[in-house]
Amino acid sequence: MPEPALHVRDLKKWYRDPEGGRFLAVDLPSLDVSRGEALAMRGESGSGKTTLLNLIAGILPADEGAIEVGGTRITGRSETQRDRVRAEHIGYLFQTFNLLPGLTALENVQVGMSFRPRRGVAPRKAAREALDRVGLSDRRSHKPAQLSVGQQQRVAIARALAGHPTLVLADEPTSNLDRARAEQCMDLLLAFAEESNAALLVVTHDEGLVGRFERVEHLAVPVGSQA
Amino acid sequence: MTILGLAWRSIKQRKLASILTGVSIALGVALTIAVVALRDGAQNSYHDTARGYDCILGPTHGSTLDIVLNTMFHVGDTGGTIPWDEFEAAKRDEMVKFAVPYAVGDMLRGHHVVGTSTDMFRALMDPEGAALLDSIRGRLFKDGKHFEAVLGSIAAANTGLVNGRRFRVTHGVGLVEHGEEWTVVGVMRPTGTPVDRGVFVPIETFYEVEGHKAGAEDVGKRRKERAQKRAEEEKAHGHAHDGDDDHGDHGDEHDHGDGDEHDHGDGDDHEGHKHGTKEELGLSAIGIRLKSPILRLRYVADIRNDRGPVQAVIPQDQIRELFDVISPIGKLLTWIVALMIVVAGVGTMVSLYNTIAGRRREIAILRAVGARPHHVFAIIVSEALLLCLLGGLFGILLGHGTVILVAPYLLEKAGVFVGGGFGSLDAWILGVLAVLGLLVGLLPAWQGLRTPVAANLHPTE
Repeated sequence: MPEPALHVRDLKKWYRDPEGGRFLAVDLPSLDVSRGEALAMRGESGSGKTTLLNLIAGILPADEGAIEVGGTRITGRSETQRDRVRAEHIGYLFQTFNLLPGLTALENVQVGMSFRPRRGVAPRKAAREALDRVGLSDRRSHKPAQLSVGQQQRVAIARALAGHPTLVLADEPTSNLDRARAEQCMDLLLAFAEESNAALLVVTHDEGLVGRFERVEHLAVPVGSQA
Repeated sequence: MTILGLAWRSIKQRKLASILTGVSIALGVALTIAVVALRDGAQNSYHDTARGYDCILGPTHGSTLDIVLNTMFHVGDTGGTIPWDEFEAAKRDEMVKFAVPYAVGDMLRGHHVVGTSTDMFRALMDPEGAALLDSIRGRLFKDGKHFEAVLGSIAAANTGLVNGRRFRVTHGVGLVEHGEEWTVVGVMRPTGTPVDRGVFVPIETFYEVEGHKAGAEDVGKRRKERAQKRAEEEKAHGHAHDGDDDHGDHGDEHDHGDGDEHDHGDGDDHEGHKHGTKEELGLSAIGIRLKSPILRLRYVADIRNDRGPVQAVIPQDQIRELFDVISPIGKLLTWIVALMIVVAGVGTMVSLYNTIAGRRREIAILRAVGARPHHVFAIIVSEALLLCLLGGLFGILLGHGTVILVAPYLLEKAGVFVGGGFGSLDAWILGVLAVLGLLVGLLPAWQGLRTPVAANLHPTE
């Protein structure tokens, strides 16, 4: 029986509109992902893909429903508690990479592990290994501005996976890359996630990439709003 | 990666703003250190120097402070002269260990030429407590009519004179040189005292100067006339003089004007003035070192009770009174410059606060990769702390460096030795800056804490 990495039930998130009303941004009745499993989440623009990832990561609080990551409940908990769960269990790969410009590649990978509990793994050593794994051992001391777009994406992958998280969330990870680089990036991400036995949830609308996933889910645009 | 490591990288990332913030703190700290060092240095230097003599005998019509400043700091003049006999009397006094005569008025390229005796080098100490005698490279001049000189370190450096070289002096600050030449026989190592600025010659040679002799003849004549007149008056009033000639001389001294002593001349060339030089010219002052400091009050009381032509001035009292007057100004100045540190601290807060708006994305990324709000708070407060402490450290170095640089100038121009050592003030400043750094970091950190994460990672759909 695969170990559950993500468990979502009846998840809803509303946003306020400028007129003071509310509209439903995310409506997901159910989602389960196991460790070692790779899932692509498709969805039209406005379906709330990024918001869903932020809810799962605990960056945004859910209004209704339940989320558990690695067996730990995120919903109904304080911001600090959600942050702790995120630090411990989740690796986040952003569409725009979101590397810190003042840090080197090694430090960017390292910083992702600095706020999580140490489990006998030295962050610097793990960061080096992760950069080696993505083929950037010769770019450790380079700052993001000194790296190509593809190299930046690989640093972001290394950061998301270096701490061996339970769940890796990837938000349109290839949208800023050309086809060849997008394929390379996805190869790397899938392989690295498999090696780490991490659950991988990738949000994308790139149909070319969706086919590479054993499991694909569709996130529908929520229907209706509540005044 | 530690909180401090992230804070340091953030500071490095905003190099220019960080440097400007740090420099503003450094300037405040440097100014504070310089002002306190100058204030304390001046005070200590004056007090240390003032401890050289237990008391100074100067003319009764001179200002007590002037007497001290002229005798011990080679500044200004004593406001008149005192009879040579007072020096002889002081030497004979059983309470006195050293009686050091002073005659001043001539200059050597901006440095006071001081006629004195070798006892000055035995009586006065350097700040480490060693007699000045031990600071002489070469040898001490011989007492008597030997045209030899010992130069203070700064006087030697400024005039370029070394042992064996000869020099002439000018009268006062004028350009007229006396004809006599002295030979340098000793140059002092730097002592950190006003002695470093002086040119010291045997007092007997001072009276041998041709220019002094000529003036002395006139003074001698006037003094002789006044003494005769007085004797006649006393005779007319039936006053039986007890033979103490000093009594008459004292009265005459009060008629001398300032600086008259340098118009005096050597009585040896003048019939009837075999020892007229000393008696006619008199002295600027006499430095007194007693056999024990306990005797000081008794000695001073004796001088006052004598109601003679001299007054006894305790240098330490004069310097203390001087600083009682000026120290509140010094303290006020210190507080004003210390306030600059606080202002710089507020500047740090404003600078950090303004950067937060541009750092929202960075903060959001940190939060997204696992940083909790208190981590963000700690990073920003650490930045403020580091900026304040690094600015403070730089300021401490800058302040002490400035003091070291201006110390020789102050010693030369004001006779004030200012030491630039690190001390408890530096620790205090760093402690205050640590607290200030923590305080000024609070507001920016609070603002950073409230940064919404999702909205700053990327816009919501």
